[in-house]
Amino acid sequence: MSETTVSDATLALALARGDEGALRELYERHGGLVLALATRMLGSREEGEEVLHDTFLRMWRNASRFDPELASVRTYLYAVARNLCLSRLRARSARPVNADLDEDAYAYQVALSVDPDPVPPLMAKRALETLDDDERLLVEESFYGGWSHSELAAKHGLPLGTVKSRVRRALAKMRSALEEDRR
Amino acid sequence: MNDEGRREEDQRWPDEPWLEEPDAAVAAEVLTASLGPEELPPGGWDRLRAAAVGAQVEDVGAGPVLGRSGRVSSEDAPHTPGPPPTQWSGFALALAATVLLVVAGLGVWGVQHATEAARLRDDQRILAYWMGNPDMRMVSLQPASGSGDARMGVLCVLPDGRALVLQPNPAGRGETYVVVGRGLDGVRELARGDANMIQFDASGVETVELRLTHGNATETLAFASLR
Repeated sequence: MSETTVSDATLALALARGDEGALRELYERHGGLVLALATRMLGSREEGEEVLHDTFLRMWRNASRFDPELASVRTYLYAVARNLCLSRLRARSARPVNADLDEDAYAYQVALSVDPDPVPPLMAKRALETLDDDERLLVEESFYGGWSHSELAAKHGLPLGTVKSRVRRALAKMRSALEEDRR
Repeated sequence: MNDEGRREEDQRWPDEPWLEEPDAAVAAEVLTASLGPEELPPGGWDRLRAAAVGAQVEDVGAGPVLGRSGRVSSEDAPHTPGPPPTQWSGFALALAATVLLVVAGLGVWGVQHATEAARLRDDQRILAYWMGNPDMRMVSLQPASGSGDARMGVLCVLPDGRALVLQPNPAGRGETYVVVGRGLDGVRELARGDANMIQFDASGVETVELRLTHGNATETLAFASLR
């Protein structure tokens, strides 16, 4: 199977039929970024590898419940990996993470409305560069660290409204930058 | 939008936007993609395959027979889990061949080394205990790709977490088998030894990895999923 001829959606359908080759293709196609995300969030390559393993195993086991028409495989994987990382951070008590999340529901919600084409790293970096330092710090702490807005407000001594408005503005900027870059 | 409207929107903005905001979905992708992919870990696919396919074989009882590549075709793969496996299904009988090899090996080894007769008796007693235990579950060891050693070993597991790995042959001169477990607690060494029967505690372990060390070199021989 090659990336140019087989879409993620097709692979997801094959996965639901128990096709191990589809799992391998998805692992090789998206595993590198899943590992990068987990390693960044946990600050440990070893733990990142464990999350990588668990993420794809979860995808394999839940494949029959996944509808590629409704969600992107790629962002589903990222969402599952991020949630597994948040659970580990919570177990370490390193972060005041929110209450338990329904992992599948979470992943599907996040996976909605996402462009089917992957974002090239350079384009992603350009989108991030459109943020002010303050915005970027809050967004990164929120996404990679799992800090909620109220926790960030307390941490940085900012009014909650300020945190919300900076994060909201930052996310909108990233979306516009991406859309502009893709035109 | 005026300041008042903006403030109202900010108030409605969720505390954890990654859960529900469309802009956040895009941003999540951007933040992940900006990291650039990491190189996949050596043996990562083998471990995943062992866990995934191992779990599938457990689920379907007799299940599909794996070829040398360990692959299951989409036609062979089940859509729904089948009936629970019988204690001595075809799958288990195939695995039991390894046990017979171990028993035969013990016999030859025992005759050749009469002074080790006591140890042989102990080993046979251990094996008899495991083989006679109705709660024992047998799991095949999936050879690691590139290990160069496609011998089929067997992992026996009891509900309380006790486990026994069986290999057809003891480790060679200067070599040691190392059993490593992966679970929610991370990766840890479970046992090591040069015998072809190694007992260990697999509590909390999801995947067992069998390695062979020789001096400073370590080779991963096989994996098995306990899920």
